[in-house]
Formats: sequence, structure tokens, C-alpha cells
Amino acid sequence: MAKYKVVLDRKACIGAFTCALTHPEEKIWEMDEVNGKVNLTLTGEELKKTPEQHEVIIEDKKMALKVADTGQVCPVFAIKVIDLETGKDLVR
Amino acid sequence: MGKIVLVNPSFEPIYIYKPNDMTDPPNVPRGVLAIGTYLKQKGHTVKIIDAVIEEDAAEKIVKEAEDADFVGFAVMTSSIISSLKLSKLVKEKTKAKTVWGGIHPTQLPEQTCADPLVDYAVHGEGDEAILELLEGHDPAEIKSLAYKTADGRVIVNPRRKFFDINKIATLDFDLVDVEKYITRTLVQERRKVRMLPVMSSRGCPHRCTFCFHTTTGDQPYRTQESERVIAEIGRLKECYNVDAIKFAEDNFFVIRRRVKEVLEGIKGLGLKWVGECRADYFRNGHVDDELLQLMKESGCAGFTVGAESGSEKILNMVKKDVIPKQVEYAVSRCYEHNFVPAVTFILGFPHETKRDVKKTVSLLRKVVKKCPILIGGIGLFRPNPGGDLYEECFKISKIKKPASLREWTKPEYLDLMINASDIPWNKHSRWIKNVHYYAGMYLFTNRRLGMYIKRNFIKGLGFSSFVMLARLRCLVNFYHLPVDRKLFNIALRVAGHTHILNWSFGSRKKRARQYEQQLATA
Repeated sequence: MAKYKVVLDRKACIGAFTCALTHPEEKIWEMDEVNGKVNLTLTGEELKKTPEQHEVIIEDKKMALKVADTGQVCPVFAIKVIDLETGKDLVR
Repeated sequence: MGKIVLVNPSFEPIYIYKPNDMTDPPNVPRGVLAIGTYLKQKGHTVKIIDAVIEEDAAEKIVKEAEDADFVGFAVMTSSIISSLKLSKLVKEKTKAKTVWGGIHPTQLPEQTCADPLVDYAVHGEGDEAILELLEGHDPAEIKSLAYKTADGRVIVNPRRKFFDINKIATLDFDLVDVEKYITRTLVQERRKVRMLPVMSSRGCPHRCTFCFHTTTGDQPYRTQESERVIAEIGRLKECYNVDAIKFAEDNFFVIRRRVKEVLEGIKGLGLKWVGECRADYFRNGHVDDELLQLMKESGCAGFTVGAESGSEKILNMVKKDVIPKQVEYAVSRCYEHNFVPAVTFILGFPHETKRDVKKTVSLLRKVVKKCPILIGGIGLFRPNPGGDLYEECFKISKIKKPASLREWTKPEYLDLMINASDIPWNKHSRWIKNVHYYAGMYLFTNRRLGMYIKRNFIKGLGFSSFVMLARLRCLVNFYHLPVDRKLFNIALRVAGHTHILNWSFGSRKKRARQYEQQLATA
């Protein structure tokens, strides 16, 4: 089964919240009350979670495409969705 | 089953469109049409009356309201007087209750509902709130509704969650006399077409503070399924014989996958289409070569790109999340692919300095150079009630905020909010108004001037001379002593184009008198 690595660059995030307002019904992103940036709420295999970066591996292709949609409207390109089979970033 | 009359009120100064060869008819009243479609789908009787286009709207409303339960008004700040006048008629001559919805009541539900002529105010999207009202639900239980208690207190119920817009039927154009709206100019190709709007999504995820979405909380982006949108467009072609459509929504291009599906689906229909697109979407993976090619194949004639300002300071202040370089890039991509972009600018923000304004003019000149076929537009900023910019404008200008719905109809507020006759939140008000005129003239490209000269040689040539002077001024950044601007006003008057004077250049005193006359009859 294909796997997708969702990467949130929290250092780059400016808290514009466009990701959370795209596919809002999925609740993929939530606002971090402390620093005004976004948090990734997806459940999956957690690779890294630091104040700078959050990486989660998911297997649901439909969800990966939706996360990529939210990444495309990020004004600072803080979101990546890497297809681990091909190495391609679905956001670009 | 209930009956509701939905009214699209006219704007200030009271404007009723009369068919002519020079201007297109107003847009189909999409707000009331969307609500009406949903209510009709649920089995209720719906009658839509568009006061912008129907001269005898008042008589029609009273006649239809005689056996109606409710009369609904889609109200913007510019249509308060018209809505008050019509609500008064409804209250005096019928037993129907009045419901106000739209942008103004959404921003100020309590103030709106407090007026004796308003029984209910709906804030946010009104589809389900009005349905529940029509079905006789207890107003206290209807979310997104403001109502009055027996002792006259106004209660504003909490906003309801957004619902799935796939539940709503596609716009039912049979509710209006569609032939009155359908013939329009496809400006990009300078020809008349049969064009109707398509609303395939609601909301916009971006945070631009000058836009009403950020003040009404209607940002969450919701979409209709691609198959539905394609089927709807096919139906428009079949039933109304359209040869063009307009994606009349807040942001069609948010989800690239969906845009691709829709465009692939309409490719074979032989239709032209127009829409809007943000400049920062022009990048690899979003509006890239592949999508631009598909847009061309599916009949895209052009689209609007909002540049707003050439100053990064201002763009950051209004949280546009776009930089001027992205606008330049977007416009050059359009030119490469032979699309006609309509680039829009805004002047007169609070804290905007002369330097910022000059940067906007500089960007404007750059984009015209990069894409000589573009269509441009430049407006003056007017704050939406609610939101940070609104508070800031009133704080700087020291003008008292209107405390009631009726106060919004005072000449000084209407003049400020609608005609932008003054920019009291910016100390360079007069100078900015001059720049507004000259930069606006600059946007009349050679292509357009040629068209005017061809249409009427003398008038076209006269107009071109004013444009040339404006170009010279923009080139040397000199906007004082606006003698030519005043001469242009006189020329407009002599040529009999007083309707333009009324809207943009007319004297403030004259407009104030007009408002007072309107109010006296309300």
C-alpha cells in the first residue's frame, strides 16, 4: 500500500490558516492557541514532532490528496505531501 | 407550505436599469436566487422581484406579499434606503413579516433587527434559517437568526454550522426573467454573448481584511462535486442556450484537482468562461502550464486578478499574502497564453502614504507594459462594517460609528461608504482621489482607445487626449493641480454623460441633496 509523508514546516508557518479553511469538514489542521500557527491533527505513524517540524505518515490516498489541496493554498509553502513510492511532492 | 417574496433592492442613489446599447444589464440577483432555489426545492412558493431592473417593483411586491408569509430583502449598505422604503410599504399594506439578510445584516444583525420595519434579520448564509422560519419553527430555536422578543428586546441567535452545499439544487433561473440579464458583453473578446453565472463553491480560505468574508466569518471553503458542476453547465447550455458562463463565486481556483475535473468536463461544450484567480496561484503545481493549457482548451476568455496594491507594506497590512512580483508574473503568464486578465487595484487604505500610492501606480504601469491587452480597474477603499480595518478607519477619522440602521442612511455615511467621496482615514485624501482618476485613465489601453475612436471618432479622440495627459502624469508621478481632471468633468457634462458624474465626480452637496430626498420618502 502506498504511503504518504505529510510534512508541516512550523518554522515557515505564518498562521494564515488557509489550509484549515480548505476542506474544513476534514479538520486536518487546527489553530495552535499559543503561537497562532497551525497544528496537524492527522493520525498516522508519527516520524517527527518538534516546535519546528511535524511529520506524519498516512496510507489513505484520498486524504493525502486533500492534504495536498490544503498545501497548495499555503502562502508560504509550509506543507508538503511526499509520495514515498515515487518521492514526488503532491503539493507541487 | 409557505410563501415568500424575495426582493433584490436597488442601490443608492436609487438606480433602476433601463436597457440600452452602452451598458450591460445588472447581474442576476444570485443571493435571492440561491435562497429561492432552496426554498422552492423544499416545496414552498417563491416569488423573486428585482427592484434594480423592474420599475414597478413596489406594486409587484405589495401584490405578491398580500398572501405571503414573509418578504425577504438581500441588503447591502448601499441598498438600505430602498429596503426601508419597500419594508414600510409591506408593513403598511400587508400582513407579511419582513426578513432582512445579506452582507449588511450579517455584519450588524442586532442593529438591523432593532429597526421597527425589520421583523427578523439573518446573519450568515440564510438558506436553512429562512427555511425554518417559513416552516414555522420557534425563532428562539433558529440559528443564525435575530428576532425581537415580546418586550421588544433583540436576541441574536448563534451562527449555524455550514451545511453541505451539495444539498442545494442548482440555481433555478426560471425564478427570474432570465432574458433580462442574459445578454452581456464578453469584454475580453469585445462581443455580446448569452452568459449566466455558475456558483460551484462558497467561501474563500484567504484572509484579506478588506474583503467582507473575513468580517462575516464565511471563509470556510465548500465545494459542489465536479460532476454536478459539469451537469449544471451542460443544462445551462441546453435550456438557456448560453455561449458563455461566469464562475461567479468567491474563489473558483482553490482546489486544483477540482478545477481540472470541471474544465475537462466542459471542454467539449464549446463555451467561453470567465472567473477570478489569485496572483499567487500562478506557480508550479497550481495554475501552471498544464492548467493554463487546459483553461485555454476549455474556453477561458480571461479572468480577474486582484493586485490591490504595489506596496508590500500595504499588502501585509491587509493580509493579502501576495507580493507585487507575483502579480507581474501572473499577468505575464496570462499574456503568454493569450488570456485577457482584468487586474484590479485599490487606493485609499488607512496608513497608506504617498510613497505607497506611487508604488501602486508603478506596479500598474509595469503590468500594462507586460500585458498591453489587459483590462484594469482601480477603486477606492471603503471599510466593511466589522473587522480590524473598519475599526481603524473610524479611529483615525474620528467619525462616530452609526449607532442604528437609520443612521447608515445619513448622507455623510452613505456618501462615505458608497461614493467614497472623501477618505477621512487618510490624510492625503484629495491627492489620492486625483491619483485614482489618473491611474484609472492610465488603464485605458491603446486597444480600448482604438475601440472608442472606431465607435465615435470625435468623442473617442477627445477621450484619448485626456488619457494621454493622464499617462504623462503617471509617468512623472505628478498628480497635483488636476486642471485636466476638472476639464474632463466639464467635457462629460457637455457630452451628456451625467450618470457618470453622479456616480464618481458629482458634487458632494448635490449627492447629499439626493440622499435627503430619498430619505424623506422613506
